[in-house]
Amino acid sequence: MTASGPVLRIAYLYPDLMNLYADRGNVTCLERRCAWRGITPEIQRLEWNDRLVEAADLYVIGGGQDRQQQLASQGLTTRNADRILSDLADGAAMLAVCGGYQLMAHRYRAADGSEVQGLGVFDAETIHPGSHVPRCIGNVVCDWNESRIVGFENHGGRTYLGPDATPLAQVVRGHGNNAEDGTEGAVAGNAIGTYLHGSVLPKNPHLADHIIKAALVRSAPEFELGPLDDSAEWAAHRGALRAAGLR
Amino acid sequence: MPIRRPAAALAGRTAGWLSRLTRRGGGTAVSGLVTSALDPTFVPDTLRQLHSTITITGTNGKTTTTAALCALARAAGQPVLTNPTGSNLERGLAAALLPHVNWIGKVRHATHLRAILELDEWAFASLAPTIRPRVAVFLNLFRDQLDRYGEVDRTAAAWQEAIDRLDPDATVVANADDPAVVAVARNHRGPVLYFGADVTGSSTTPDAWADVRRCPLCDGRLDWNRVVYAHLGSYRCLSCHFHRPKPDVRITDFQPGGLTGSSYRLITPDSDGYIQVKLPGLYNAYNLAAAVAGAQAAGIPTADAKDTLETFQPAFGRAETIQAPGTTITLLLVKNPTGANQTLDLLRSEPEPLDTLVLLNDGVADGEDVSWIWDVEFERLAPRRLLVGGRRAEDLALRLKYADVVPTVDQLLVCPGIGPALDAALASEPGSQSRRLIVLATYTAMLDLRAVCTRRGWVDPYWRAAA
Repeated sequence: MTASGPVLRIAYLYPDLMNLYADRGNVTCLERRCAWRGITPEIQRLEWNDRLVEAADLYVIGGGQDRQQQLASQGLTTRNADRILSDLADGAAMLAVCGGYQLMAHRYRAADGSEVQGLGVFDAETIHPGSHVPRCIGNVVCDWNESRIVGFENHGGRTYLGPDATPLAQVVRGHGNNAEDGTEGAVAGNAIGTYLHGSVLPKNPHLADHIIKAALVRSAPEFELGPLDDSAEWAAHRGALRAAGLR
Repeated sequence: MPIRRPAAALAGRTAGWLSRLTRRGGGTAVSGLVTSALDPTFVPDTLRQLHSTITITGTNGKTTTTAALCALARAAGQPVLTNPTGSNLERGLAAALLPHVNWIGKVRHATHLRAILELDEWAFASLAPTIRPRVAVFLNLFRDQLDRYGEVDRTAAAWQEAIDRLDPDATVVANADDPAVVAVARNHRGPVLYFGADVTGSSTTPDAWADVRRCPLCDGRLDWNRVVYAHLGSYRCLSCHFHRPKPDVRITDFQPGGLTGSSYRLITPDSDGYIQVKLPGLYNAYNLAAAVAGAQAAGIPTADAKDTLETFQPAFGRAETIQAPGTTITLLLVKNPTGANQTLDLLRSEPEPLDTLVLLNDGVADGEDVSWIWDVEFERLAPRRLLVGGRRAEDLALRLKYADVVPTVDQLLVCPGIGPALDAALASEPGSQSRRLIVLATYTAMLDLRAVCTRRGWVDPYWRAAA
């Protein structure tokens, strides 16, 4: 395919701090699915002391450990909050996974009681009930947009959505946001937060394309995402359903 | 002695015997599980009778390092008790000890016997205070089965607590090249012996899946003047001056030799020479350096170390060779990004592309979360023919699609069953002669594959191979 299509600017936030569960597979996935359709992905990897200068169409951040999350929070709130929030207000898209999702909500209270400041993209907050309480670990299946998304969760914190937050999906198997209310993740405009690893995008190609479409809405609203041969993607999707005890 | 000890030991032995009889396994863990459940102080009480205990822990290399250290001790004429099947939880220790105790729990010739034991990272943290090792070896700390072990920082914190409670006259043996290990080992009240590799790394940036990027003491910027792999290398903190300690036992002049071995110079406080070993890869050079440092710390003579190390064979499933009719299989255990990426580097150092079968299972012992394969740089793989199998074969096929290793996914045989996947990989193309097959497998997939090969009479069962 020729690269005649639009450019998609992806800002990958703190891969050196927030890639504990190999969430970089999401970036690999976005990169390839764009390239296969002639979209040129331009990926900017942000390090801890970097300051974002240029606007992005899509922000991606993964999960990390408590201490790394603390550092990422400093980087986000002291150097990059304005850029990210103004891009999102302008319609940019985001995929924030696990620790990254927690950082994009109002705050995260860690197991030791310390508080990590978030950007407040999602009206939600996360409380870690303490290291004596079992973590939410296991395969997850959710209902999403009249279909399903699959993945694996591994988080100590429980996320509670506020009145202005919309859940991303409804849990069919697994714990989701807090193992209480059956919700998983959050949506705010074109930003998506989720607890799902896997990596989540490769085996949920419909979610990956949903995000690419949302990211192109401003720069190339007319661009049609052509169909791809997703048989390997759906086979892995079914494998994850099977692992979760579903068909 | 607890009054129920004889009963517990008898029950354990019976369970192990039944397990072998019913061919459910080697009975290695079952007998220990029963014994330690009925008699919780069996392991520390038994170990306390012995000459001394050496523990080996870390994410990668435990089984190989333990086997090498045992070989060094035996070569020096010292009797050894060990847990050679990689069964490294308390139940595995109990199972290893059971054959050595009599009916009232006494070990014969106990005062001459050394226990050389591999311990899972968390088992070390919980057992070290009661088994009180004389030497504690720490190999490395990488992300591994996070659904089981939790975050890497938590493991380091648990190690620190255990190290703080070690006897002051115990020796800690630690990998100088791993900042996460050094950050905890340096706080030991007694002597610390370091091992490391002085090899010219091609990079000064830790790999994408590395777990240490900032100073473990102060969160300042760590500066590497070379990275060997993952986050191992020569480092210095720009804020608090935490840095790589000078290794007492070190590897230099490393020469890779593909899958069949490697050679290098091994320098210890009292020896210096070149060795040619049958273990491939830099990661195994670290393991042998750790074994030699462990022997030195334990007062095991290493004068004959060269001969012992040069004839030392890989542990089961660790670059183990299995001869099938017409095909030589090399079986490589992969269980986390660092180990898998090191293995891919090994394959790349082979002179020609090889037929490769990759098996991914998601059992508890494999890690139920298969996300880690996205941290494995399969882009480095250049196989002649590539097949995937195991319970999560489809996830693997998808990862390989995005790595662009094969032109289309249709060329990968996606086959959940281990036996059929092996058969497909062995099915030789018309006209081809004797050939080689590389199998990369997660833990239970490796055991399953060995079981298939054992049934076909190509290899001994693992509990016999390890003995």
